[in-house]
Amino acid sequence: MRKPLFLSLVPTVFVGAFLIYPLILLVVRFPQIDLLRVLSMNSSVVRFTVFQALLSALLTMFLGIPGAYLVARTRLPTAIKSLVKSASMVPFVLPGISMAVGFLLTFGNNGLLNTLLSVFNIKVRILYTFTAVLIGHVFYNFPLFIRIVGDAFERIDKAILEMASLEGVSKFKRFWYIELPLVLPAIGSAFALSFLYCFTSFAVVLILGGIKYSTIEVSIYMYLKVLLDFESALALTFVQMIFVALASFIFLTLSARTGEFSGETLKERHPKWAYLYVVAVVFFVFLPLFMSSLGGFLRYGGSFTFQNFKGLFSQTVEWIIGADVKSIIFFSLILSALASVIVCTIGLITSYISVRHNNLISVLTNLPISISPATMAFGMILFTLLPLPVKLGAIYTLISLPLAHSSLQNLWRNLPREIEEAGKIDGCGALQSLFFITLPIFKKELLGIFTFSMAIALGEITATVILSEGRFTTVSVATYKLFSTRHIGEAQALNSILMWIVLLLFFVAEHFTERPSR
Amino acid sequence: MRKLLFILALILVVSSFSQELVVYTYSSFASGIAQKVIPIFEKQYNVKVKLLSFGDAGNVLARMILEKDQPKADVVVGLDQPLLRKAISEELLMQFVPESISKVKDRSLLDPQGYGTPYDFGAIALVYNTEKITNPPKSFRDLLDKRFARKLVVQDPRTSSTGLSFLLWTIAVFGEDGFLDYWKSLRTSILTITPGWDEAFSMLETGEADIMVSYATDGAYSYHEYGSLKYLPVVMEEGAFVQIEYAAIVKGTKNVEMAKKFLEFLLSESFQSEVPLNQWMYPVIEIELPEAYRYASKIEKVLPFDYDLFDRNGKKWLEEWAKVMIAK
Repeated sequence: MRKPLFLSLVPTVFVGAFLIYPLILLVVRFPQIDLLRVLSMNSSVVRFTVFQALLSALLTMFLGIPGAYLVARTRLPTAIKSLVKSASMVPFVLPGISMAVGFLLTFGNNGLLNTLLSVFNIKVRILYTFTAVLIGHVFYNFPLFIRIVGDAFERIDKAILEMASLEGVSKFKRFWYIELPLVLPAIGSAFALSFLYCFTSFAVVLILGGIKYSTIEVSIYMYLKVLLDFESALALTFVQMIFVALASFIFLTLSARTGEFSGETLKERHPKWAYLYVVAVVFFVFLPLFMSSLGGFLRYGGSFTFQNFKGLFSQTVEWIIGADVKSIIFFSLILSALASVIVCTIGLITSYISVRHNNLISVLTNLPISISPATMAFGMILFTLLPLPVKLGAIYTLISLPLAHSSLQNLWRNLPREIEEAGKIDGCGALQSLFFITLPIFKKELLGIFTFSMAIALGEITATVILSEGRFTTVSVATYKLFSTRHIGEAQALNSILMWIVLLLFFVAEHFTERPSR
Repeated sequence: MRKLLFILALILVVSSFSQELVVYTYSSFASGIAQKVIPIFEKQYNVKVKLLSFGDAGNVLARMILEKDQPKADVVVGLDQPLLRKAISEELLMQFVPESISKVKDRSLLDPQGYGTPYDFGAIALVYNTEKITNPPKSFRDLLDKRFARKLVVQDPRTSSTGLSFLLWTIAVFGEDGFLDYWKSLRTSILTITPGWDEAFSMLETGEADIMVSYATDGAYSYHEYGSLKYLPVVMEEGAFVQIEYAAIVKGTKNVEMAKKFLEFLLSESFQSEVPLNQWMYPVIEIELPEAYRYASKIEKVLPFDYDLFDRNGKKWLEEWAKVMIAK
């Protein structure tokens, strides 16, 4: 890995060919872009988008950092930690409708919360307020902090902290002056990512916010899909791209200081607030998640039933989807696994370059966040040379790349150069050093990213439906077909199955890679 | 000899190619009614029909716009009034009026420009939970009543075709100058705005909302599929807003003859009789409706709507709607 220039060609060519080039094709096809008109018509939407994203990211940060600390540094039982780490990733990859059902069943009128509170004759209305939007965003972006910041906490050398304690430094001071500066770059990455994801949020804001709230992404969707006004959609896409590039750049410069530290992790007794924290997380993250997995049991009319699952494997459903459910699940798993291998490979390269050479590449890897899957898909239609699976695979890869990149950055930051150098002295080539030194150290995180991108690919629906031509069926296309022919129950059953698969993937990945406690 | 065989084979391949009719349509058409009726057409004319679907009708038209220079489809199925006009103004379609059009009794369903062949139609309605609402709204004015405060869920017209139809319905009733004021008053009745039909329906199901914007045939559907009359449709007394679905021949197709036959087929009895229970829309020719349609709203008075206005001002309406409803 000594030739950064040559190496950086790989991600640049990938993003260039599969993200920028299709976009250029669209611009060439629709050149009359009137940025000013579109901006003035959407000025209030742009303002609100920035405001809610900042607030959401801040709130996620305040809730996320303690969580990251708990998972990384305390002696809470491993099973609980793996559950927190794995289950918290699931919302991120859930289709919007599952999330909506989860929130309705938890916080809604007849939801779990109100059923429990009705004993005391209290009724609360959380949904359809700005608070609901914020809760929704915390629910979604929370795992970013657990993963990225948690990892940084884990890698603070025990020796430093113990030394500080010997000198009689209070826990608070130790946190403020030693730990916080050390994990700051990771906090920066996580904050940047959750800001960007909230910035381009779509379903959460519409469903949970009620009237009054909307983001740029919704306007893009309107121009693109309802008005077929590609010019205006492209203009707003550029606005989003500029914001995302600018935001990534700012966060990069803020969190650019990198340090290297390694050694053993200090494991402490969990503080008292841990209980309170776990309760809050269960309430806001796991409860809606659990309830949304029950969506599949919802009978037409509202009561609970197993019928939907029976129906899912019936002849009628096979006929609607055009294939049987089992083979579709199998096929989807293969395609998404392939895309995930590419995500890991490119993510390894970009994160290496960003940490060891030039951090600017992070602006490039964050760009996919700013371009909606629908825009990507329409651009890909113009890219006629590519076969369909490649188009889909490329889009899946692009969607997961920002998170893969940020998660891996930490590992490179914390990988002592001495190890690599020792390898070199012993005559280890670049490839050897990659396979025998780096990859084994990164194994855990890579597996996490692999499962994450697999889940994203499995759940991606917009671009897949546009490109699949209806003949190339994945789980998400099947769900779409069921919803559109009004087989709501069966569609939600399939969504629930998807969710369990994803949960299982995360849990297995987490379990297999949990390092033995020392 | 070998050369001759080769040429023969080539001709065979080419001719068999031209015997394939490529149809672009939306997902639910492809995985619903098409599965029942396409085999009949294929047998009748000894042709292979290749159905390609891209989600909703908006996606279909978007793809056609992108592929304009090299059209791949012979026929497009599923454009409603605004999409049909957009397709015509983008010069994507070929003019054609099938002979069987005489079977369509209601002349207001026809495309005056002679591009689209109507094959079914439906109406937007408000669907309410009969267990919670005993006195459903009868008119748009009625819907503003206090008893419906925060009971209604509508789809965002910027993301949902159902939502867009509802917005156009209010414009048909209150006019270009009045609809925004109506929406301002409607805000107290609206619980939330969802991105699509699915989310709105899940709100009705979980008891979150009591009324949603949906279709006039919903009662028939739930009676037929679930034997339930829990959710029933009501069409506002100001008049119905009718959504017509058209099929058309794609400009530049080499399969003009077969494409024409396909459009004739859409008006045949074998196709039209499958419309009510598969499309959950009304057929365009005279056909006896199934029993379940007792629970579909009757469409008595149809509101006229000037789609020229939509072409000119549709974007402005949506942007203004967003300004009134969103991000204050």
